[in-house]
Amino acid sequence: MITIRKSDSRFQADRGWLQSRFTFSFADYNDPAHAGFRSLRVMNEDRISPGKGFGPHAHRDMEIITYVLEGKLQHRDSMSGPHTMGPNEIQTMSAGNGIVHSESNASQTEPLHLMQIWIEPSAEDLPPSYQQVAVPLSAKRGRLHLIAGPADSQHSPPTTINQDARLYVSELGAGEAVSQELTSGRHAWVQVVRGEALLNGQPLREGDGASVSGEPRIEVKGGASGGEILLFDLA
Amino acid sequence: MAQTVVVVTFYSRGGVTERLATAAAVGAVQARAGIRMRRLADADPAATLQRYPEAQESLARMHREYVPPREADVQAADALIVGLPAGMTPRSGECSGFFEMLARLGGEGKLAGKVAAAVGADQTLDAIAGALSAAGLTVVTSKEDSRSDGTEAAIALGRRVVAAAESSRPAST
Repeated sequence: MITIRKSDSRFQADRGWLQSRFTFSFADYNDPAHAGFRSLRVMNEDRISPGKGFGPHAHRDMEIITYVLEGKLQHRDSMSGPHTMGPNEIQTMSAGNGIVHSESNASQTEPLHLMQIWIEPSAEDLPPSYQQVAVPLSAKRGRLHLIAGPADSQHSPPTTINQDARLYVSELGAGEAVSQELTSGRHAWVQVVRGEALLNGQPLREGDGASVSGEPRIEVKGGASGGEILLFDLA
Repeated sequence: MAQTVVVVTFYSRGGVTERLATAAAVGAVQARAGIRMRRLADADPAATLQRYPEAQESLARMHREYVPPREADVQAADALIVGLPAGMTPRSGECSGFFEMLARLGGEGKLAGKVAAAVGADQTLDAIAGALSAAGLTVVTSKEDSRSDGTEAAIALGRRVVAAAESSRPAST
């Protein structure tokens, strides 16, 4: 079964310097019908004005993945920093037993556009960690490129998270397709972050997401203008 | 039980006291408290930037990232952690307004049941603890826990402050 969460049905938050779309419940938005999917808890699309950002604040027991679509993000945390990251980089932070961090648009002139994803960890009170790696353009073009997953000798993700969940990114030209087998008990979430795509033949536009359960295989095909997707393979 | 709220208030120019305050905040988070981090404002931010060119980058960042503590923060807190760098006291220009507010709230009985602790340079700890105690706060204090280069000790202090705040609460029925 495929259930689509349309882009324009997401919650819209406007704080002036921050324009956000929440796919799932977040902050003051609490919608039991959209509280998450499997271990996926947060799927936020944020646009942050130049020079603005989130001051120091805390997290605990959450795997936080940030994928920049446009602009530069500056990050500092209680373990390290500052770190600056841009498009085609992935940041994976395990809040573990406690972390304080700040995030802001590193540019005073250019906007920052990013996806922030929270995944529930498989255990509490783990040591916090920070990872940031580049995603080579060639690695994600026309194929599913694993960018985060559990420490696993079979898949060797470039960044590790404390959950049985794997995150892939793929940039697809028009009509170009990738596929993923979903073994018994596995589920998927597909989020279109740029352009358009077809998920098992169903059209998805930029900002749309879809949960997939009970399907043995999913195929994602680039739409008329191509597209970029995030695919989560979830327990 | 409602989540314990810890307000961490500090003054820092170069980032040393900020690191200690952040470590104390991490300890509070480890103890499952909610935290707010507040930086005492420079009396004249532009003049401070000019006077301390070596700290310009961290000062500019802190001016962007933090807001100063407000009365509502103090009233919402179950615990306060206060950090000052060497050479500053509760009477220093950047801090005096904050400590005067605590003294006033204490006089009005609005700090009853709240606990507090100090982090920072060794020579400032007694002065901070004295001002917090004079305001009627129960001070969790140990110089062993809050030396200026001891982030691990500050983390431990943050945890202890939360435990003290939770044990000082009236038992719920």
